[in-house]
Amino acid sequence: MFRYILDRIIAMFITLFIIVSIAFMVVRLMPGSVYEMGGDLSQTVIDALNAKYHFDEPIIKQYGYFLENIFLHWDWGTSAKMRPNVPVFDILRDRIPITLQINLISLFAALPVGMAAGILAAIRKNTIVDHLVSLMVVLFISIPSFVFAAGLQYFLGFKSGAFPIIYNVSAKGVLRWKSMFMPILALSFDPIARVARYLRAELAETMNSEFMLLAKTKGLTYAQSTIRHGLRNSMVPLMNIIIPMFANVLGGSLVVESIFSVPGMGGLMVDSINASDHMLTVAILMFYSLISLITVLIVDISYGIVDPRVRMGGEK
Amino acid sequence: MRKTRKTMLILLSAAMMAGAVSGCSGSSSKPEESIEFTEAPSTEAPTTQAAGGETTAAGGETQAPEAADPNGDKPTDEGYGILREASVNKIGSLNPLTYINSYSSTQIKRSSMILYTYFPNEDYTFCDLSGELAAEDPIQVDDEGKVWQIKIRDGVVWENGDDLDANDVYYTWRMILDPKLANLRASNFAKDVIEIENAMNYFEGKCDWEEVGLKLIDDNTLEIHTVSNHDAREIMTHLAHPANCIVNEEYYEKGMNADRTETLYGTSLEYWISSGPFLVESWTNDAEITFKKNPNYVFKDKIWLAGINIKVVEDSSTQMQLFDNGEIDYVKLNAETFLQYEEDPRVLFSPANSVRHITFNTINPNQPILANEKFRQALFYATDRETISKMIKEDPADYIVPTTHIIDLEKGIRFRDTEEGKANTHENYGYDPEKAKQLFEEALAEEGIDKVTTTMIYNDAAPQTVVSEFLQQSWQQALGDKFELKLQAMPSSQRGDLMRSWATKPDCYEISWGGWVSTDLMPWNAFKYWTTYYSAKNEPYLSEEFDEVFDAANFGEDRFEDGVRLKEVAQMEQMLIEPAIILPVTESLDKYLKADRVELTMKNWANRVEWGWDYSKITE
Repeated sequence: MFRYILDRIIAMFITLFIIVSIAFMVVRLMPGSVYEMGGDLSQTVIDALNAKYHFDEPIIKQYGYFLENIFLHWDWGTSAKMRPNVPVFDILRDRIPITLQINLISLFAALPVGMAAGILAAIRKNTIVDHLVSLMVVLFISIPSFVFAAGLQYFLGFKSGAFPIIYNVSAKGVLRWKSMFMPILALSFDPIARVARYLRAELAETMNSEFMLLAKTKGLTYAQSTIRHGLRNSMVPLMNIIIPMFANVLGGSLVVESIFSVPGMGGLMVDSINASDHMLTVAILMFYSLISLITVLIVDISYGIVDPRVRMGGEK
Repeated sequence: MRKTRKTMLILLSAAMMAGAVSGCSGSSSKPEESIEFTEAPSTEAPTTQAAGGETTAAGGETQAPEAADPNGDKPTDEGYGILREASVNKIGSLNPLTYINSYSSTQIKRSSMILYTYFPNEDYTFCDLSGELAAEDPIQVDDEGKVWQIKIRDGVVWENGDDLDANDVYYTWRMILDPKLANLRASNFAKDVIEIENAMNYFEGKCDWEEVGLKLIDDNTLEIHTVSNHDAREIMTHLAHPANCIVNEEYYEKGMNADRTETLYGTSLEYWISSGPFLVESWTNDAEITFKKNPNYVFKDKIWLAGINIKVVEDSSTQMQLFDNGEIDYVKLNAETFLQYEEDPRVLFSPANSVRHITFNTINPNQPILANEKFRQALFYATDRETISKMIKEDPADYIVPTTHIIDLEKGIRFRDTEEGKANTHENYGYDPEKAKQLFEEALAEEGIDKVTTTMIYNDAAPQTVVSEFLQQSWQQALGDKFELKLQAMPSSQRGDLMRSWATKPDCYEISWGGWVSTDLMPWNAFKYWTTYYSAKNEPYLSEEFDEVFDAANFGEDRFEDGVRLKEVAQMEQMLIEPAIILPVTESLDKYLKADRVELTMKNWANRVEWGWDYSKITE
């Protein structure tokens, strides 16, 4: 098992290295120069800045400096435009906590609701309850989170005044949590629907299994057999969709954060690309890649734990 | 197997919980690194607090609801009321030597001292350029007007009480030109309205600091040596540029890296100290900044406000909701929202000092007709500016120098009101479809082609989208089936990058939009964008003749003589319009909706100070 995990971690770092290298090349090959930004800068200043940051050298040499700084000094560079001279990871460090907070809370809030809806739909299969849950699932999956966000902001924030229209960064305590409610809610709809849909399908299938019939034959009540056998058997596969869901939710928060003015990771990548802030763009791409790769790693490890055939890799 | 599953479930749950907890509370142990726990005072609804007669966020004062005039007869040291703004822009840095956008420079000037600046004049109808840190106008030392001394005001202090004197200015000058730091704003200081002797040479490492025309005479006196002769007004105008805001040596050095190539000055409160009309009270990067009135500011009697709170709100509809909810005090209206409030007396118009124009890539090898003067003129005359201006609620413009630009400051004469300015305009704003058709046919004959299909790139946002689509139809209507305009939308920054790459990629674009914001009190300087040596040119217009006129207007020996600059400005405008190097369309006009609780002290929009939000009063 240790060897299996080690292999996966090595593979993850190789993949990350490839992603970062491609990201560096793609970003540097984009049209336009970092400092030719239409302001009142003389060519002398532009040339001096390009020389200072090696932007005037061939891309392979730039890549060499980039790797040298990372491997020798763990220096990922500084922002050129978004926050001039600030190390890129300091910018990410400021932004990541609030993004993680909102996304994780929305995910953990979504899980019990989604599971309850899924269980209800499965045990009331083909009834009005099941149809209502299915309708909810279709709506929550098909309507993007930013539509919910805009709707919530208008009705709950602007019209009713129940919640602040935007996230209040300077508020503390209850006021702060109150201003976080709508972005969290907007991000919760999609995971609620996915969990409900998956659990309904799994549980409905389990309920028709022969071992469930056996359990009932042995004298267990409907509720006992559902909770002890049906639900427990349906839960394990659910873990494999919950972890990747985290990466999906992070992607969805890009627009929601913009709508509620949350100073998180959302929009930072778009802003940095538009501003030609190359080092920051690469750092953000690395962050998202790392999150995705860790997600994949956890899923892989969990598969390995559950199913020994996976970690054996076909070995006899 | 069940045990393994249980273990896995527990491990995964623990991992996720740990992630959640790290996201939530990691910051609590290091408050200074966190967004969540930034030490910012509550800016919670000043309206409600004021109505309730409770303590306000920045002022710390108690308001008596029954008071007739909460501001009193003259501003107090603390000021009264918070002006609440929302902005789509982010500050990024308050370092005047490296700031990126004009929005940042506005915030820098709010919290920094500068030698000269624009104040509202005594009757609040126009701007007045005078000394902020400088005690008086520059003193001419030599006969030629190339050596100037600046006296520094006594008693000016930093936020921490330290003296701010000529030594701070001299340190700022040395830093902005430092070759290792290679500051972004070096050329704004070294050469713009005036050129400082050897400043760029020092920046390029070609000479020593002692050879630069900047001298520290004593703790209160500085001296500047320029390449050309100037008058005091030009020296003051140059030094009023935001890049000349004074930096604090202690904090600048505190943020400096080991090899002295970068500093973190102005990137967070840790590396910032204020000295201007307002002090930065709290700042969460890219989210919110709060200023409070500086009780030690030398012109504190001009400031009525207790503070200013700015929230970053990127979504324009959210901004409107905040305004309608009474949470911000003014909002910029876009074309759609303006239609709803067109008749509202709270609407304020603010000229943007810019003419929206179309520009041509005349060296595009795939589209040689763009180099044909008659073809470009055909498009000029085929442009129905009046209809366009009604569509986007701006003023039609067949000229380049905006109506706000003043050619003679002493007499207050606007360039567009002069005979020379009027001579550059056309009947019906240049719209003449018949002439356009005729010129187009002649251009086709000269080029030996039957049809033109060309592509215009535009910003993927109103109003460029609306106008571009209108031009696509109206130009074809005017020029006939032999003309076809294709449209290609792209983000503004991408379009700008593409346009400016014409020197290395001649086929980078064909037709595009442009619009330079220029110095409204120096229209002769505003033509720098079309000189051959401007670094970020949008179009391949390279004319030595144009450069000569520009240099004469800006640095020529006879430029101070009556009427000389007027003629040179008119000539430069004519040189661009007549051969349709660029095609002016409308004069940009910003519209704002102001809350009733804000009383503007400015009686009208004025150059440089505009509506003077910083000098406004809160009347609740």
